[in-house]
Amino acid sequence: MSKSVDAVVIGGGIVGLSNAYWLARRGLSVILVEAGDLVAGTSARCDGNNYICDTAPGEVTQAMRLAVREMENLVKRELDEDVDWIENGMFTLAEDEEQFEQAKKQCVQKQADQVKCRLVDKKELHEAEPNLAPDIYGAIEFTEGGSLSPILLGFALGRKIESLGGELWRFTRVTGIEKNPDGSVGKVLTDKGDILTKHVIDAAGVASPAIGRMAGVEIPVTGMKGDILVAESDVRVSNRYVCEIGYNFLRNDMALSGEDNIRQKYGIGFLTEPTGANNALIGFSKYPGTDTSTNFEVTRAMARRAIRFYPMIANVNIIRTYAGLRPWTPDHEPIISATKVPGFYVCSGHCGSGIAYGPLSGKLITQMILGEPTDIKMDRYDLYRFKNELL
Amino acid sequence: MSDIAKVGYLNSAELKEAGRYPSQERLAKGPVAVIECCQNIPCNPCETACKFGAITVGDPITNLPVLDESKCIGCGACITKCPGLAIFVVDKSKEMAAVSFPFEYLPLPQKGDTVKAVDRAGQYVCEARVLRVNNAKANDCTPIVTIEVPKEFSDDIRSIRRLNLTEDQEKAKLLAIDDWKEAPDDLIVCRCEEVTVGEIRRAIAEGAVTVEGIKKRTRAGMGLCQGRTCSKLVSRILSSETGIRPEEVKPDTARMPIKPVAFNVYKE
Repeated sequence: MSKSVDAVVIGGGIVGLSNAYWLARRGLSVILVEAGDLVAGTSARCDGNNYICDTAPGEVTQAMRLAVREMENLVKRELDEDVDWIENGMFTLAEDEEQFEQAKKQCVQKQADQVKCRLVDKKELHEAEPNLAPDIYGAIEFTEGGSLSPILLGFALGRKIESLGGELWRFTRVTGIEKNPDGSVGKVLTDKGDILTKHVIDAAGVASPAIGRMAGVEIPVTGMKGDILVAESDVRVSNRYVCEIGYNFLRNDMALSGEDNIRQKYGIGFLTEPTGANNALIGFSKYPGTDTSTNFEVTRAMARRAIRFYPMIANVNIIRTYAGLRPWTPDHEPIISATKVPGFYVCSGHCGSGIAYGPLSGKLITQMILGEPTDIKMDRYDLYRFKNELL
Repeated sequence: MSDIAKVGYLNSAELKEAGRYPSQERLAKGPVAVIECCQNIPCNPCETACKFGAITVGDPITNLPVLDESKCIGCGACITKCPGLAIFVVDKSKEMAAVSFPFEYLPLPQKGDTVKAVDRAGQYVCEARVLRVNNAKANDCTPIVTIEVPKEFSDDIRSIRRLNLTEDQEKAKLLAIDDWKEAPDDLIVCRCEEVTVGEIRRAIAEGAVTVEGIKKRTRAGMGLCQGRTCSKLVSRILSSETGIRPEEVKPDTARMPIKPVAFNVYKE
């Protein structure tokens, strides 16, 4: 069989689904091709944080704000189902006075960026989070955004795409991408049949380089592993999304001070997210990886870190551990870009922010395909900014 | 040959054949203990529980207990002392028989309640009236329930249905296990997350073809037991709904720590 559509999206995670959603919403005929089931990769092995907190100042924070607005619009107005959206604010914790001083600086800087945040002193912090270790010194509260279940969001988007006339080809492998004589995209070959199209969006996350090669496009995305521990649902650990302030420094690749070797080696710190089902998710780790097996050494260190911040968790059961691969780029910014192959677009490498950035990314790609002005400047996300990596 | 290895109990015919059931003459005189123990294990609390010397285990302690029906007065003191809950008291002296059995499920029935009497396999036999509920301190949290049943069923009725189970949960037990097509939509399959057959059928209709696909769509298997209980059932439902052969249904990925373990244990 051979079909013909305006656009083919490759990848059924939140980023791919967001692209297909936007294309379908704007009236384009679209087929999403996914090798497995929907939300079966990184989008099912992550947390659901959509708060503006740890972004670099300036343009990046502005983009994140737009992303959060798109997500809120999506979950509150566009989708007809509950995706466990929780709007409860989040804390970044300062362990001691020194970190609290850093927190103060960060808070001032964030406020200058119009990020909704404030300092929370020890007394207020412990009233809000009674299970915290008594010595935790203070926190910054961020209140812009929310958290959600990426799995619920994924299936809701899938149903929305189908209701808009889009097709989801699950358990379908892309076997090749054929170009027209003029070098532009012409056909996507799959094990379920060929699809004639002028636009292909590579949203395959950690598999996006392999898809890119089919079109002759090099994409510098690699896997950055993260482990998560799932706690039993009978116990409420935290009342909101909480992470240690060290996370921010780690995310921005600043050195942690006085940390042990394992934490340095695997980028381990503490975060916890209460989910809609009341299972606390415990993170985090960050180290290069190629598969989703969990590393016992890492998850044990994460358990120790969790006990440091929430001592009561010592007696709470862990029911599962899992790991996911964040599609990572050399400069930690996503690739949302046209390519030298006309009609071939890349929407990948969201570096652990693929859930939050998904809806905005899909909107931007759709604007590019429709030849409309984009909501933000795209240079920062252009594939060809990585001149050195692509040589 | 008995089916004991498969079903875990001796039926009344097997007990009678082995000479281990009180005589019908004795049963007609009044209450008497029926000891249905079939395990040659070192265990004798029944022997010491009986103040009338009616129960003998003797030496070696792995002997099965033997009842002297002439000494037994049917007081039921042995019922709560049997760790295997294998002792009952049956009384056929009146127009309706009375059966007493240990019952360790809450909520307890009340005297006068009409309950559903079941046989050794847990299969429904008939309705019965509760005569007594004995939950004395000496019972050590093993209440004895006595129900009134027709005499012809009194050698087979050994318990009642649990009171907090819905009809459909009961049906799950009664269903021929391979017959998932017949299972009602509101039957709960994943108890941790309370996921029903209907929800699983909807997930399959939406395109789930693996245990993981069902888990992601319904939460079946995401709970405390991590699918140890339900994932086999989910596989069978998948198989019966889609025609995928049971052995070809892709199982869920097993992840550490397999069984729930506390953070302070896990961290070491």
